[in-house]
Amino acid sequence: MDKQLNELNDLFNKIKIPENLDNVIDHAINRERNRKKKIMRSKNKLLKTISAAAACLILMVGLTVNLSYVFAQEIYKVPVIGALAKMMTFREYTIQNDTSIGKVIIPNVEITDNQVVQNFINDTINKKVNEIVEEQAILDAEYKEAYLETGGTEEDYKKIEMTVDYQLYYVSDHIISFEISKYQTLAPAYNENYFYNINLKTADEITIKNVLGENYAALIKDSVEQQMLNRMKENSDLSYDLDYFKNMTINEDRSFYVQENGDITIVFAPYEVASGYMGQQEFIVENINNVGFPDAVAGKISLIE
Amino acid sequence: MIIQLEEEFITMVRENKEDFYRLAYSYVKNEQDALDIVGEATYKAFNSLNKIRERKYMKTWFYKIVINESITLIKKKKNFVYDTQFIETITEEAEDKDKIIDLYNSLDKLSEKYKTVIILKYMKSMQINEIAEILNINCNTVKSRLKRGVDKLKLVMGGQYYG
Repeated sequence: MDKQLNELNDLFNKIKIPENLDNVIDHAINRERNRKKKIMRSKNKLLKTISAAAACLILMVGLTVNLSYVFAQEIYKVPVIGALAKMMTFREYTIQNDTSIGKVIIPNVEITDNQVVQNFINDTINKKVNEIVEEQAILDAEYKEAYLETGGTEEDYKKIEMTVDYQLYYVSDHIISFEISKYQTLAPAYNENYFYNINLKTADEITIKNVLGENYAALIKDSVEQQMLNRMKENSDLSYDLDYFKNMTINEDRSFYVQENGDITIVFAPYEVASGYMGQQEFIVENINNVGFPDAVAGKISLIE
Repeated sequence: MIIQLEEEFITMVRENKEDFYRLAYSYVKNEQDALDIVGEATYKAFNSLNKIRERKYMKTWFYKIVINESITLIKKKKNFVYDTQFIETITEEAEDKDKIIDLYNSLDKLSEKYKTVIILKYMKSMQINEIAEILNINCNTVKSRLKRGVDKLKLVMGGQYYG
């Protein structure tokens, strides 16, 4: 039968390609593009019509919030317009000077029903990106200075390249999870990844403890250790520093993000628990839908206190 | 950034459209359904481009979507009209025509798990590691599924026939 199996590829390549295959693909792409346009248009319209109503609402909240806590809670349950938050590229610019070349992509969130939280998050993002860019500029300048001082010439100097970018991982009515990253060519150790998990109702940053509960450290340790062992068993090329990991303390500020499907993913920086060549290490420890979250924080309304 | 990703995606689909179509065809064995699968997969993938974590996996990721769409359609639509004309025509000159046709038809009797690895390995002629990447399983699992799949095929086709 092996002979016939090997002939299957010949069959495969003889499958006739219908003339309208291109049309089908184009049609699928246009269908999706039109859908996006439609959504954008209807959102714009909706925004205009609700803005007047929203103005009234804000005024009312201002007047009554101190009088009635319950009333405030009621109001915050009101606006439900599809997905409440989205993230997109807000600004993109390039850096070009004597020491560096850089590309910086800055995202913005748009939250239809909560400008306060929206502005707060965007402010956080902008501050972080500025900080990253400034830090890198200092590093680059120091490097160039040292380079020239140690006999390097201006002509031979190779500019440091940097990219600042973002990645949106998860967004629900309650949480947005994303990453701001910096890659540069100076040295791998200066690459950075910042993971943000933010409560969309309060703008508070959500920690791993908020998500997994008091017992988070033990839970992570057990799960990650087991996964490390399994991975090493499956692939002998991998090597985790288990002794180090067993003794390390998992703090509340441990990096993590939530995947599209809700998987809570713990992140370890390169070199932290594994050999450098293995890069950043990620371990799924739970699913956001199984941990009684975000209901636990949904009731919190710290911004209007 | 998104625009760039979209362009990259469209180019990738256009460049490999024949492979994607033929893969879908291998599952459903008729033109109309295979076209539907490619269309639906393109639409869904284009809609969720933001789910790609690394660009270099775009093609692998899309293969997976085509496979999923094919399997979904097979499950949804119980009565397929296979195009038998095709297989008759292209095997016309082969000396072991009957055996090939028999094998080609027997593939449909396998469960999705085995069918998929056999289609990818023998029809599409993919490497084990590519298959592993697409199905998100390790190479050894691919190998053992292939072996069991072939054994099952032999069984379906009557072990005595091919020994």
